[in-house]
Amino acid sequence: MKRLMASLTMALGVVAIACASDADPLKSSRWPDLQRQYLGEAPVTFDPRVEVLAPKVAEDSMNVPVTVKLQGLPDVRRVMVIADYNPIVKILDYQPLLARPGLSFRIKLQQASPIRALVQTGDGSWHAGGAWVDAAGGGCTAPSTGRSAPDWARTLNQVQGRVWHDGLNQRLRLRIMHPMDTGLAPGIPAFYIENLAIEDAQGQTLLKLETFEPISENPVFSFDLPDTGEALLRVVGRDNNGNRIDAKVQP
Amino acid sequence: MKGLRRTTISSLLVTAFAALAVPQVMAGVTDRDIENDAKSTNDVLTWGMGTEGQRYSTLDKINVKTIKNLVPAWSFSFGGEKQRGQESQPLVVNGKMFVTGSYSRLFALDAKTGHKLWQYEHRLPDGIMPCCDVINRGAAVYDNLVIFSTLDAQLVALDQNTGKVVWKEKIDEYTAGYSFSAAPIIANGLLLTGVSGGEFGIIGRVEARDPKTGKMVWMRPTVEGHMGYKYDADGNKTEIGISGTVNASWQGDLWKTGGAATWLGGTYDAKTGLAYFGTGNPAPWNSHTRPGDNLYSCSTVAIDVKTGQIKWHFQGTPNDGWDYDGVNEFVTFDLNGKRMGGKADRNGFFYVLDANSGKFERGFPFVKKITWAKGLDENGRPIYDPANRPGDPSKVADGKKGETVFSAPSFLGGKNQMPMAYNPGTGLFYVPANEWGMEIWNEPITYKKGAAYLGAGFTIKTIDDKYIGAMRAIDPKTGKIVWEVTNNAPLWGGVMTTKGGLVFWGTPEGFLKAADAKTGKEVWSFQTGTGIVAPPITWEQDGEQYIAVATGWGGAVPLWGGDVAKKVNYLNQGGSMWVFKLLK
Amino acid sequence: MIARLVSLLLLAGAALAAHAADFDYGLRPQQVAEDSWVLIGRTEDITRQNGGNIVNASFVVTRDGVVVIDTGPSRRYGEQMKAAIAMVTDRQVVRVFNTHHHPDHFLGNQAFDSVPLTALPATQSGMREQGGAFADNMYRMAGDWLTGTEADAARESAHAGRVSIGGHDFELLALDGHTAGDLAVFDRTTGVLYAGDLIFLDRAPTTPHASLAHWRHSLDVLSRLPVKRTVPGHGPVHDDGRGIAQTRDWLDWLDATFGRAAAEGLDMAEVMRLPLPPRFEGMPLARSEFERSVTHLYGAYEQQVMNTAAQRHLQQK
Repeated sequence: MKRLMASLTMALGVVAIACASDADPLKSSRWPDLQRQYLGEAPVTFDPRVEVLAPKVAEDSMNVPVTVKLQGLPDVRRVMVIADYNPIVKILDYQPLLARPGLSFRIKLQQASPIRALVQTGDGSWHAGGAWVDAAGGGCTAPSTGRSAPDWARTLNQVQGRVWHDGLNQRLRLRIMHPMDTGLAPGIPAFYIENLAIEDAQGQTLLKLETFEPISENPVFSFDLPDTGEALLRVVGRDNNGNRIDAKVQP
Repeated sequence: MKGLRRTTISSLLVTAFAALAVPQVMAGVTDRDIENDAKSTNDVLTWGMGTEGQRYSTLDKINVKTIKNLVPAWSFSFGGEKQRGQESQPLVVNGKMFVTGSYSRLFALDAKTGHKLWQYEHRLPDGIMPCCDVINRGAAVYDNLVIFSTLDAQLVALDQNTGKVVWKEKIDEYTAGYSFSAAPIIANGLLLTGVSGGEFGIIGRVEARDPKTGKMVWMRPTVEGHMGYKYDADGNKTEIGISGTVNASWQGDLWKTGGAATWLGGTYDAKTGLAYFGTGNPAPWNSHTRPGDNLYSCSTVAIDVKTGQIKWHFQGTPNDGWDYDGVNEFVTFDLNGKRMGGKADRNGFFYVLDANSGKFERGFPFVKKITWAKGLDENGRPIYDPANRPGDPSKVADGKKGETVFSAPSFLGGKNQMPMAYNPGTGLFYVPANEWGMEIWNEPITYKKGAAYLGAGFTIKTIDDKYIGAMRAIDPKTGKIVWEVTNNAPLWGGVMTTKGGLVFWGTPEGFLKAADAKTGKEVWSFQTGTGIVAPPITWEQDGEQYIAVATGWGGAVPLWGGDVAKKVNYLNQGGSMWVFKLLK
Repeated sequence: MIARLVSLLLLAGAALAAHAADFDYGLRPQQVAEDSWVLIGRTEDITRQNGGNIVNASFVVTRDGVVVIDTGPSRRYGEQMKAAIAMVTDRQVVRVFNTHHHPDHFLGNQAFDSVPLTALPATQSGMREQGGAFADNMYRMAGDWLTGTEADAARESAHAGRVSIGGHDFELLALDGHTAGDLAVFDRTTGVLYAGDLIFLDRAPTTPHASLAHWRHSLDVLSRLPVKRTVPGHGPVHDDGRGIAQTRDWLDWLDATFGRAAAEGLDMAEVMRLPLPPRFEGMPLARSEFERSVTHLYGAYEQQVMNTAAQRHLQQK
């Protein structure tokens, strides 16, 4: 009965993540292949504690906001985000280290697709969650707007940062100037930020992030860290052409 | 000079004549020359190396024993920044090579040296809508003309000696989605062409023109319900009957945007007097919107070239729901004293039909995995597996997306545009096949002029991690795969076979390869520097046998996700003509 | 129980499909003043069931012929609107105004092709530049209702000022804020204001091309007119200032919500999940329009906060 009700809601277009289970609640035909590709033979549970917040419809396919929210899931070691039906499936690979395990970012979406977070905890097990986003499409094969601006190189890898404190946590928001070209627009090679890390004043790495082509142009990220008061935060990273990112954010 | 070719001393005379190195004005290409193209060795006058499309040469200087000495004679760059897919089969006439390039360009080269004689670049509007890259598959020659089609759906006839435009005619409006990229063919004094644009809801048709003037002679639609016409000298048209019967295999008005594009052109057999044109998918892809067989989509249509009437048709995929275009070339050949035709269909089945009547002789899979049909019945009609047709979106509550199914072959087909070859010596067809599948689903769709008319979504998948492409020798008498050579990337170039006991083909990885036609043993390969998606040719000049192929990666290569991308996304573009001969 | 529910659902689907199959928008002119008629659309999103009939289109029967204000979401709508006009008058249409370049307001233009199609210059260029993409999207959302529809941009420019047609004294107001060009038509003869999408009532306003500051300024201008009756772009015809008040309330709320969210450091997908105030909870499409507005507008708020903070904190190496 319960399952029948669930399938009815599905049919009515409401995607509800039921209890933890092994069957893909997003019912995507790509999932079995992607599971094999990214997780190999490792078991995975669809876990309601893994939440992907995203609009139902991508109003702007070049900038689809996504927040991965992981409440109540202990000891998160790794967060992989993928979009099943994007021509480049993998979006980012996040190691929270000392940071909180959730994060926010924006992506390019080529067509309607599930966006999934695959989360590995300290015991090695994988937990998955996701949301369908409908899209008219074309986000990945359009050239970046920065590409047509002649001075993209002048502002390349410039970082804007801002921190909000609440005594327990601090939220770090970064905006990095970068075209993030996918290589799929004719005649424009792939050009994207490959990795980012946040370090504290002592040089200790607080979080590490690998990023891929589907991240939106001039990416904006939000991370949540333990509040370290007035201590400096350092943003380091590089793109696939070896251009360095190195900036300090003063909370 | 053309007349001399058929005498035994012709090659001597040709040698002597060419030795003078004076490019004389020569007699033009005649209908007889064209009908004899498969037998003549010092030229290539037709797409298919003979209008029957066997791609077989009687030359044997290059053979299993001598091929180890095959080395480059020259290479020519198509130049510019326009290095997209090069699917062209060159022609060789009177020591001149005519090869078309991407972006509707045509080059005339000295066939012996690669020296450029002239080039023609067609000015293309920005709004052209080629479905699958800016390719062209080759030209036709007639009299003193070389004739080719353009991406904005025009035909251009150039003077073989000067490259000047002699005539130019418009096939249709590119703004409605029409284009054309196949090689025109000459059949019994007529220039036959098709149309491309099946993804835009255009109407497929075959047109016959006077090759010397470009004036229309007759037109035959390949969507059931449309009227055919013939034309008088002043261009006035009169009706010559509807193709089929209105609403017999289509419901409502759907036949008015029915697709069935004749985008790969056709073949012609002088023995039957019939031109064989393959037709593409019915529009839109979503088959639930168009119940019925949707004639003459996904078919071979045999047209009497004298009258412009359809003599017979054979439909491989009635009510197609997988984009299994039936455009693949119908290659006629002799089998047990009867004139037959072979076709390796995009849907994964190889058909052997009576070339005169279209009667189904036999059919069998030439790929290892076919999900959409359980087999063929005694008339060659597929026995569908209803569970493996993408679901009807109107049967789903929100009506947006029907049930997704896995289908093999993928929409790119067991075989696509790359032409196969037939060797009368071995009695085998050499088929460039691909093993892949797809996840496919249907969506609702409304026809909008000039907009893609699909109503389907898909992701393409590999079936075997080790390979997609498979060059296969197939026995038309038994359906047996005699040998195969697998290839990591999908095969997308055509095939040629020779009396020297060889089969030649190119790979996306850039190798031009040769194998023993009997055993499939690879005996030679050469890296050309970019992917090959075009068929090779051979001819003889001054006593030497030449092999040539256009190179340049591209074609219908969409943004394949997942495992297929890994096999192709590292391949680089190019654009060159490569010519080989034996080291002396 | 479940079986019955399913069959009910199927029945409902079949009924809708049957209705949609003859593509009849069921347009019935409602008189709002002397000579003045409105075709009221549903306060829904565009679907394959409603064919995009979510908009109010109007016409005024003057002595010299009919003035049309907005032509609806499709060629079919335009043609059926013409037939609806013929139900109340045998006079010819002499002028069409398009209030702005959104597709539900002008894709019926093809039906009035022989009539001067008139819009503000910013609207004309918007139709030319984005009309094709708008039409594609409308095909995607409404399906076969759109058959034969192509974007037909207004060819004549409208300018602010008075126009007298057949005894009706129209004041054209060249405003903006909902889009870069918003034409409001005020019939001083009847006191009816055709506000286009500057005014929504009981249907959440849309913001894909909006400037909140300009929009609020335009509402100020409209609120000073001696209006007896208002025809909003979407929602019911009304005689008081409710439409202006509610539209302004929504815009103010968006502005305040986005400003506060940005100051608190929320990211876009988090903002989309913020609760609606009770007064908007029951408003049709409030949740989905709010979600869309985050994409349209929030980036600027976020950037402003980043800019002011970053000036102090950023040390670029």
